[in-house]
Amino acid sequence: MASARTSPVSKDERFMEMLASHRQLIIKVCYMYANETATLDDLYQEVMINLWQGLDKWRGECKMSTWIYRLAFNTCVSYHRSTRRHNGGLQLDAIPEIAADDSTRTADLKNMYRLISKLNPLDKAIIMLWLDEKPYDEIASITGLSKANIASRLYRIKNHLIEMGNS
Amino acid sequence: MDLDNLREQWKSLNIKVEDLQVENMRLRHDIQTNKVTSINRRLIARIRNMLLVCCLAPIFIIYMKNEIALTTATIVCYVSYFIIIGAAHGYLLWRLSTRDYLSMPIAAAIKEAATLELYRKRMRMWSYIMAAPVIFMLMMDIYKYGYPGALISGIIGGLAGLAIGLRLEYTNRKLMRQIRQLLDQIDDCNVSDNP
Repeated sequence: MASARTSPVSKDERFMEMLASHRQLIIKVCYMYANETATLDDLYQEVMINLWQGLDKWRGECKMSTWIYRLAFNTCVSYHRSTRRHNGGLQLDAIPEIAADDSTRTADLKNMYRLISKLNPLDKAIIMLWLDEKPYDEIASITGLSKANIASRLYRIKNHLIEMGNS
Repeated sequence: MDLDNLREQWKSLNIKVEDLQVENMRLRHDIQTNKVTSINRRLIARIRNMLLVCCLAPIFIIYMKNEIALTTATIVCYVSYFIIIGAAHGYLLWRLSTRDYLSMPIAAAIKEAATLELYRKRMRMWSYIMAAPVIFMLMMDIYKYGYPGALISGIIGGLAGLAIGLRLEYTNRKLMRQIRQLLDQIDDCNVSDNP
């Protein structure tokens, strides 16, 4: 699917349509990488800006979701702390409370987030894609690693998380 | 810890749409009206400004040479410093401007970001360390010209620059080690740049 030159109005529509279809994906990626120096709000804003600026460059070589995953992950892992912050927006702690419908789920999700936050940026991306039930070949396409590498890394990451969870 | 169970919970994790809707509209408006720009663009703008300073600074010394009797060694050191720092900034600017790392596979993008971060930290540290002798030599010339206080200023300035540079090296050592470990990990993988 080739991307033709579009008027600003059309790009706006495409952008909002893209957000409507993939907002869960984007917020989950930002949530996974947010910490004290890179808040959820900062990361979400940065991803939005990069999506807007990159939308015209996307030529349909891969699935839209693959492209968004790559852009969101790459934005989060390469984020430098901004000296300017704007007020309001999304707060990290609020997300599990907003999403979960019971306190047990909230505690489990927070615990999982705490463990995954200790992984390096690449392992975080791999485990998150696994949590989103992406097939190995799609994970390989998004991360740039081979399928064999993904399988072995995923095995190692899961064991590591279980060990951390049990200790 | 049951990862499969957590996977189910993660799958069903739904953020309330209304909250994001408001945020998305606010952001879209701010992006379109250029009220917000990406971190990368701001970084590129800062580096471009530094490059401009490095290009203009040698011109300034030509003016100073006529006012104060600067030695040839001082002028050479001064100009060399800005040429080296300017070249370092120029390379960083080129790399940031030409590499579209956002659409790269994640492993390649992490490697690129980590490499650039390492480069920036090293460049900053060396800029402080190399500035120390330049400041000292400038102040020595000014002192000989007839301003005794300049020598003390020069020594203080030179030592301060050296201390800042070494302090940066010390505080960044742990972070740089982590970056290098991450780069080594990625190099061990079968990295492909093909989408």
